[in-house]
Amino acid sequence: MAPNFQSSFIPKEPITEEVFKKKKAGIFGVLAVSLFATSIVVSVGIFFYKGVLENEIKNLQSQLAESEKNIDKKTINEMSQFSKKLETIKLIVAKHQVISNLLDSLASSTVSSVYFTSFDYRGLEKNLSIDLKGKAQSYTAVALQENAFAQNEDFKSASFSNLNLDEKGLVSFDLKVSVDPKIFIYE
Amino acid sequence: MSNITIIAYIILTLSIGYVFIYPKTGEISSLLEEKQKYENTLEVVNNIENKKNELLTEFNKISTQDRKNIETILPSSLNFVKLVAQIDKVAMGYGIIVDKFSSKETSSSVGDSIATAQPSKPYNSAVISFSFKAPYDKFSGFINDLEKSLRILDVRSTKLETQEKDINSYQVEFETYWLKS
Repeated sequence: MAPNFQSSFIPKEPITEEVFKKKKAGIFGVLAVSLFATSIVVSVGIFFYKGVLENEIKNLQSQLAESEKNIDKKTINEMSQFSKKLETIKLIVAKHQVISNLLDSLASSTVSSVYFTSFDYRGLEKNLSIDLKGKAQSYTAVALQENAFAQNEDFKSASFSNLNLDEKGLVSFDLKVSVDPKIFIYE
Repeated sequence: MSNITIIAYIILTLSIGYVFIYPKTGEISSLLEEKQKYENTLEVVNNIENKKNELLTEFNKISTQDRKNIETILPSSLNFVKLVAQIDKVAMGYGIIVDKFSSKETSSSVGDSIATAQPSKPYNSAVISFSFKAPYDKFSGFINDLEKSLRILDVRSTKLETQEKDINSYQVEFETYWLKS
């Protein structure tokens, strides 16, 4: 009998060991599975989160509609109109123009030997000036009047023209006075 | 785990990301933006209500007389006939008879041409013209009263011509304003 004779068919060492041994996943495998699982969780999470956001927006829309309904638009409009009116009044009052200051200044600068027969002020034109026609007792009186106007700070310039001696011995003249716009401001 | 399985997982993960996650993130961010806008608007609306209540308290402090005066200073229409009646009433106080009342609405834009045009005025205005005869002292008092009237009258032109016995003839133009409500 041979010394190596094997009486049993069962091998001494399992020959299937390598066949059924579980293969280890490895770090890349674990990472791939984790990423896959995470992607599924994130997808589901986003789906629900989107639904939550849409609901919140619907709630906000209904709250906004309710709030808008409760706004007293009539009162707000009334107050807004009033405020606009006040602002416009401020604007208009700030540029309120009067002529009495000019008339007073003109009267105070008119010498006693001169009187005016015509006065024409047109504030609608760009240059603020007055056109006057007058009569003086003499040429000296006209000169005095010119001097008086020159001393008046409200008048920028005064130019006399058409000086004529009439049949009554009076000197008639035309006069154009350029006026400082400040004189028209209402105080 | 074989390499093929790992690659399959990675491909699946990328596919899920591309098909489900990536498009949804865009939607989520626009929804968040929309939500933020609604929240801001809601806050503004709530603030409007609070501000309105504060202003209403101040508004109610303005007396009826002051409101009436403000309406006189700047009415909501020209009220030409009423204005003429008021001017005539002041004139009567000085024994002046006013004739030839007329009005001309002024343009709301300022400037002579397109090049010089400025923003339109925030109010309406008209030039009221009238003429009368009176001694100078009566004219002076009358004009003074008109200048100080509650209804704003800005003098635009004045023409005086002397006539016999210290009576002068006058032609006056005033600009007056209103604001359509």
